[in-house]
Amino acid sequence: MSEGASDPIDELGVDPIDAALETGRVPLLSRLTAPLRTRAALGLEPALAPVTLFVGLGLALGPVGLGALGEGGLARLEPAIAIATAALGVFAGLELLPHRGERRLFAAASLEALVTFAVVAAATGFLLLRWQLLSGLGVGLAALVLGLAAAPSSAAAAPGIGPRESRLADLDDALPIVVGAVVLPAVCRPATPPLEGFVLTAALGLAAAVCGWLLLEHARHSAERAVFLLGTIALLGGASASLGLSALLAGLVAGLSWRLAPGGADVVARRDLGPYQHVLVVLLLIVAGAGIGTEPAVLALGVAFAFFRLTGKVLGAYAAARVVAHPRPSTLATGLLSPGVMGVAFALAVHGARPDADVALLSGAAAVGIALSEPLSWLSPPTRSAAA
Amino acid sequence: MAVAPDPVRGGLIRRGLALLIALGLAAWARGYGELGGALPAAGAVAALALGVTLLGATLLGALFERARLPRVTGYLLFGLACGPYAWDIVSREMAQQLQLVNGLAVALIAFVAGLEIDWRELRPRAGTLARMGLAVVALPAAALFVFTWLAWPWLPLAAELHGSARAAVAAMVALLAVSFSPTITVAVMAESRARGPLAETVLALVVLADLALVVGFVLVLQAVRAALGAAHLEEVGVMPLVSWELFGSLAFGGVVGGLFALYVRFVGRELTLALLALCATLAVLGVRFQFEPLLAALAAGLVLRNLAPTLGQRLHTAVDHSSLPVLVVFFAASGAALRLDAFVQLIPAVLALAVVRAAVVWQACRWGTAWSGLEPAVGAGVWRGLVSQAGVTLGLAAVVAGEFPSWGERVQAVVIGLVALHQVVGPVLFRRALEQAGEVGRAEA
Repeated sequence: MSEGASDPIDELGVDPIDAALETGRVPLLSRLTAPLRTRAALGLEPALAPVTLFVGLGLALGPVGLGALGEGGLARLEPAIAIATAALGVFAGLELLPHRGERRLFAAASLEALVTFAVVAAATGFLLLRWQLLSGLGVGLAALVLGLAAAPSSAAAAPGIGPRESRLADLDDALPIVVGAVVLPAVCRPATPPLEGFVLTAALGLAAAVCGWLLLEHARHSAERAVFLLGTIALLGGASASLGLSALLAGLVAGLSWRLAPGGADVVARRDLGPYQHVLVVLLLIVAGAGIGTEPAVLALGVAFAFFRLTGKVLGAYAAARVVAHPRPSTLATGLLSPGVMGVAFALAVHGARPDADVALLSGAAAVGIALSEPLSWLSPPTRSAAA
Repeated sequence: MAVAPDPVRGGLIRRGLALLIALGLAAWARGYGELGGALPAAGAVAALALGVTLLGATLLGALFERARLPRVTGYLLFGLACGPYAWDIVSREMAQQLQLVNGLAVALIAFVAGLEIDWRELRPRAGTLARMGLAVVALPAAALFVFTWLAWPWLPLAAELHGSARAAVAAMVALLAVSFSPTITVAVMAESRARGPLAETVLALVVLADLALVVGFVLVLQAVRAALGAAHLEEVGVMPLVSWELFGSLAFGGVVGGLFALYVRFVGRELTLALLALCATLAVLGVRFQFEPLLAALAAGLVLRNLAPTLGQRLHTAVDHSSLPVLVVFFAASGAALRLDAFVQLIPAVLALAVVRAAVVWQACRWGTAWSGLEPAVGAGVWRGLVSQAGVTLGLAAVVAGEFPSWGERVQAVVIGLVALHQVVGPVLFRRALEQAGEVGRAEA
């Protein structure tokens, strides 16, 4: 960190998407989504997150809807998806390092993610076994994929959600990303030992991080620096996807390495990549929505996914509240219900690496479930104020 | 005694290491992926190609700039050296995936060219430029036609053609051989931040010449079809086709440019992304509606610059940020697509055409300068800005190869050879001319 010792959370604040919607930094979008946030305006949090909006938009534009984003269009977006996934990993890596006094918060976030992952994986695994939906992929691996897609949360910006809840939602990405780096090679390259895939992913992330670290700080001008950053992330995403490895973990390792390395590579990455976070998230959500199929199994599994996720998050929040001695576990649960885009990115990465009917079913169900998760969170009891 | 580290040497070592890592990662990803048995998805290959190309070509381009050579030449040579016909780090499939950016790049480059043309500044010199343009297009085209006709038996093109067919194909070869490159002109001007009479004159001439080339190509293509009995002029309807392509493109670009001006005026956010989206729109819709994307994008840039000059100024940062990665990928992909094996076989014919072309362009510039009244100091450097050839020429050659595969592929191979040679030599010559004219770096002032 070359620019002082400022806290990166202070620099970034809450999730930029939420912040943009709340502060009117995207006036047109804010106006469009304002009616959808009436409950938030009335103090009945959480708000309807853009996840639901953009997954729905993708569904409307995709082959099932208007067909404006057909198979050809989705194929053209594949490179962008690989790059966007790696970029999300970098964002997670830049934010991952717990600050002083946050070790317990980090442990609580990981516990909460683990509980959600376990609940969703066990329950959907049971359903997949009973319904006999899969033709080639093992039920165990499929359940792990759904569990990992459900585990991440996003930091809700609704009134009543305090900084601790938001930070917990930030930190609960780490465990799913790490476990996902073992599961993804197992799904798409069964011959590769799982640990080998994990080590290769980490090595890839580290090598790309060194490449970026050598270049980012010493670029001659801002345009060249932007090219170096884009090139490094494209290399991360492309190499990971080519090898059937997790671009999220590779990106996370790169982001973490820049954070730990001397110099200001982390500051450069955060500053130059930050403005594109919203675009990348929207892209992932729209593509996820466009990929939703019309099979009844997708809808049924998606609805089940959303309910199991809700259960997992509530149970996880109660477990996490004990670790950090949070006075209001229900508030914590409310803050964790918003679905994280990391789950969408993971499901898309699995589909990109193994584009068959089984994985299409899983990624479609995950997209449906994640889109439904936000409206389901309305069922949780409203909370006046987290600070109360 | 402590020795201070050499920042230049340190920078070179740092960049060299980064380049090695990027190339190593790409080679490893390809090799290990093949070992795994499963073919990676096209999207993954494209992202990998994009990453290694952006890093490698940018680093080599910067090294060339340090040696006072154009960055563009570095991008091209990176593509050539790492492409499928040399070291094969960027495989044939990866090179094909990179071609996806071509339409976007051509539109962006033409848009930037339009932004650079201020009609109020050019208007007093319009007559001069028109006469100079006529000289540098008509004279070389006529001379190259005569050369091609006379040398026909020795050129590896289409010895089996005779009479009017031979004349029509010779005219087509002459037209393709004489073409210039707005793409490289704008790229060299952008990377060297050049501004001045020479830069503006060369830019205006290559844009005018490109307009003339597109119109001339459509007419000559019809003549070839008629000569070969492939179609009759009256059936095809040449004038509607030309009018649609020419005026339709300009009108379409003008409307899109006007809408973009409204966006810049009333929204004004995320201009880099908006600019890329504009160019993608021009490229995709242009092809769909049979417009010429280059002309449409040029018109969009012209509208923005001349109807809303203050808005054009606001786009400079967006242009800087969007043009570098697009240009890097475009030129590296062009380099990777150049078939070295085909070039080696055609070296004599290519060299002969290149020498004749250079000589007649040089002579045409001398005569044109005297006839048009262009300032002699500017006119002396113009020919060096007219050596480059690039993407549009390749695109037109591909049209010929697609329509007349029996001999068109040979014409295409010769044109590719010419473009390869001029892509490498042309930017160096133009950059030198700009340096001698003292125009490098003046755009920053």
